[in-house]
Amino acid sequence: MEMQIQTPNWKRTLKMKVWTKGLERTFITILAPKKDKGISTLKRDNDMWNFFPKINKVIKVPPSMMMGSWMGSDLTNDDLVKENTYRKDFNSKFGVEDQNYYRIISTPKPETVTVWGKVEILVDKKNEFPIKQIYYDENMEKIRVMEMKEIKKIGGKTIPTVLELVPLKKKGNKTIIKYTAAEFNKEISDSVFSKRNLQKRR
Amino acid sequence: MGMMVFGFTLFSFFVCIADGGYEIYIDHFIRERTGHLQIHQKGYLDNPRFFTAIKDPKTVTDDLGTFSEIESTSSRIHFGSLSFFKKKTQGVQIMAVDPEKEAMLTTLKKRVNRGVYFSGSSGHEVILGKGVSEVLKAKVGSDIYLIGQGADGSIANDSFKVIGIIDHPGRGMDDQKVYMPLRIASEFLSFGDRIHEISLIVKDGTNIPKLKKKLQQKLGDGLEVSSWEEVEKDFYKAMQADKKGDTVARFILILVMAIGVFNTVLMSILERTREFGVIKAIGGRPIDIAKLIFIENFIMALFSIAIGSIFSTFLNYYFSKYGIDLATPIEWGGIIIKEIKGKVMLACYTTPSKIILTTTFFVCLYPSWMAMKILPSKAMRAA
Repeated sequence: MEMQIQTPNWKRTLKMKVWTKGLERTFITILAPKKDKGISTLKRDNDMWNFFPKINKVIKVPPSMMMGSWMGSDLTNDDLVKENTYRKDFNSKFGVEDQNYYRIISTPKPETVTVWGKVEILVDKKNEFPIKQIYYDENMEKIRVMEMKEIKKIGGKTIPTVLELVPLKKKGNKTIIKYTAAEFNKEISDSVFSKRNLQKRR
Repeated sequence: MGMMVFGFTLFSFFVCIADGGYEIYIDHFIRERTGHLQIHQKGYLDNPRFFTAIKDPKTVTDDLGTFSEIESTSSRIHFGSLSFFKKKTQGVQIMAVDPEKEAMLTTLKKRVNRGVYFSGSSGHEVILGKGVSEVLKAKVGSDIYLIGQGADGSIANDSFKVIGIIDHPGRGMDDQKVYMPLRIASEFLSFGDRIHEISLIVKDGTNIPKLKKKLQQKLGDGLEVSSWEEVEKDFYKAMQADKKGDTVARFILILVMAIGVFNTVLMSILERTREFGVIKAIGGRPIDIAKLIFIENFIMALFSIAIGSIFSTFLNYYFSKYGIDLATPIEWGGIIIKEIKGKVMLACYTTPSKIILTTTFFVCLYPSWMAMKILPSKAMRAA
């Protein structure tokens, strides 16, 4: 996949390869640009590590850095770690729908530790794909919007292949994720999600 | 007259140590830290953000080259990073400098007392402050790692060899710093030609406000030219407050001196009551007596100034050359002070001279008035 990151000060595109097993395990390695090639991220449950081949160093991302940006993008480390907790840590219900969209309102359960006060998901009535996610903070102020675009068949599945994340408080910032190729339901060894694999030179 | 000589010498010494000491300290401060003037992108000084950088430093340095008043300049980048060595980590402030120019502008090269200064090679070299080397337990020759945010959004990460350590007693401004060559920092951060700061030293330190104005006009509104007092305004305010404390001490010194002189002048008049009575009896006018007293005391003051100057020259010279060693160095504004030294300046003579002459004038007023009012008959009866 490709990640285009734009800010008022710079713009760059990362090419990455990603392996996921369920929602608990993710391994990402950067293929380009040359400067970042080989930098890898491993996520297992709620833990996350980054590997920097230039300095041969594995750094565990501490809880204090979870809200920090992942590789300079508008995605946070927490986004990558907590993606699996949506279903079990949030209560969801239908909101006021309109002609074209279903509206799903997800609010965190009392025991859930999260920065989001509410997440609103708009689902296209025609194809039942999510097309927009709006994130609100604890004061119910809109903080960011993720749009899902270019729904097409990839790896045998029809999914939104472009995700566009815009933080509303950072003017000029945008992160666009494009899935360029995918394979689903393939057997992936657990060793892919090991620290040993994380430290492998690529 | 002894009191006047003593007063002059003491005050001269005070000016030498206090004012002279401040001048020496400010000179150190400028040479070790700020330079006489600094140039930044507008807004950087109030809010030093990484991307508030001078985008075209070559044009700026070319412009600076047209000013003959400037002795030397040096460009710098400031950024934060995480440093690693074995199992230790430390957040550090990094100052990237042009090694050759920085050595001419400041005392950085001389301050490196373990290992060596930058060699000018293309190697990844760093110089650590003592505090950083202690936390990381890194020595000269160690390879440390730095991770930071690149200017293009990438994660800047690389290894660097420690070639030098600044290790002086006390916790000065170098303590938590890491120094790196400018070119290496630009590559590390993908910063291109951008820099945060140009620091400059002038040939004549007395004409800085005028030069500052000229530079600002030449460089335009996009950049700001700041004096060291503006760059380090908190420190400057603290120094001004400290100097105000000096004012109180000076006032007390003047008062003590004035009281001593007043006492001397009054006694000399009271002891010559009979003589003044005779002068008046033979036709001397009261104003003549007053003139006599003033002239007498002013001549005494001038002699005191001359003798006091000789004594104070020896005293001031000694303290300007040898100073007073401090058993425990003190840190102030990031500068380590190991000794108190004075500076022999013109003010060491002119200031106490003005004080002596002014004091003499005022202390003569009352005794002269008393002498003018002496009645010859009463004066001659006084034994």
